[in-house]
Amino acid sequence: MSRRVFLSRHIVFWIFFTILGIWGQFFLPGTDFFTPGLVVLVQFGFLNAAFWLGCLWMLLLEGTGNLAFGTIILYYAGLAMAYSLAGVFFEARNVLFMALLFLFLAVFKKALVLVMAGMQDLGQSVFMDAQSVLVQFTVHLILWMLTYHFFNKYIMHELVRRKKPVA
Amino acid sequence: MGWVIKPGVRVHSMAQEFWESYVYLVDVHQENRELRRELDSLKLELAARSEKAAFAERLEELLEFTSPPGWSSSGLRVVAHNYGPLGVLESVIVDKGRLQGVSSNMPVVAPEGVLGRTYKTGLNFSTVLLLSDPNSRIPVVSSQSRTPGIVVGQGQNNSLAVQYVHLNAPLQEGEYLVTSGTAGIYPKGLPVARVSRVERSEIRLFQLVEAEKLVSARDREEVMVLENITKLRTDYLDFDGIIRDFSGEDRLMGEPGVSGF
Repeated sequence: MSRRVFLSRHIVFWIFFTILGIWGQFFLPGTDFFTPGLVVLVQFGFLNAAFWLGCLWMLLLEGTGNLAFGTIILYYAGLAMAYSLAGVFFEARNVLFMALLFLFLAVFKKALVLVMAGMQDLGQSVFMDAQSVLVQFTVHLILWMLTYHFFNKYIMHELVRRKKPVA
Repeated sequence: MGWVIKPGVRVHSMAQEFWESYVYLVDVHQENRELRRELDSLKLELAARSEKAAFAERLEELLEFTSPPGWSSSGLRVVAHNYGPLGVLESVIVDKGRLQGVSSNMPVVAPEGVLGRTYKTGLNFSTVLLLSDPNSRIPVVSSQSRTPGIVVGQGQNNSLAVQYVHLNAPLQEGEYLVTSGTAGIYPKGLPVARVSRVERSEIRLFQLVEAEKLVSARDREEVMVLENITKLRTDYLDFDGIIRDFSGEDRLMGEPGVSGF
């Protein structure tokens, strides 16, 4: 498979992921669907793509949210820090590692929104509830498993399988 | 011979009958398939037409709404509710923004009453803060006893609270609460809620009043935004209190026909 085909598949995959994420957020208000995509990109070493897609998703989330600009930047900074720190102690593709990371992120996101809303005098609408944290954790974990599986199967493995043998 | 031929004839006629009925059944089967396909397409068409009829009914309902004097209305379509991980407010996203003339703090209404106000506006979409959000506060007055109060949201599934109602105010259950027009955002007289509970207690400074909202955001697909037309003229008001209209004539505030605010 040529690099151009690989790139176009890559792009189609992430466009599809973004559309599904937008619809997911429509059906589950208050839940983030994009973080597992970022994690998968980082796990496979596509740091440039992670950066640009992260910027795109950040604009999307900040634009549709009710809080002042900056919350998602802090959230993604927290994600990067947690991933790097935890990566020192765990194998980065381990399911247990991912479960712990997403549990931390679910609590961190809620706490961050709580603090940011409080700073903007909107604190009365937000409260820390276990249900939304649990929903976010479950969505992240399941979505990461699916994204990792499909990305690995249709984007990464295709590259190897279709490689012409050297004569 | 008869004994030999008769079974043969019988077998032949049975075979013929079977063949004909089989061929016939094949035809019936094909016809059945075609009819089913036709039925499916008719079902789809019926669903589309029913949806169109319901949409037309809702639009008709919206068209019956007459804007308050000095205000103009335009239709909006609800796109999403509390969208995204940062959608912390009780809000809906509507399909018009700054490019279509929507700015923040514009009243959003339905024919039954007030839904909320525009909170944040993008180029083509806006966020509407609903009545039920705890950050929403609307000054109201009761329709019969003219008791003033402030309607405050308490969350999606809870009733609205009416604050600062004096202990001796003659507010009754079932009374409608309408906008008082004092805050400058909503025009006077728009229905907001209906009083569902009034409790007077000597240990409180104010009555404990609850009200049910008249419009549920979950059920609305189309709403209207109101624009204050007269407010635009304040742009032409200079420090002398003189309004410069488009004809070039200067008129003092308070003169007949001058509606600055």
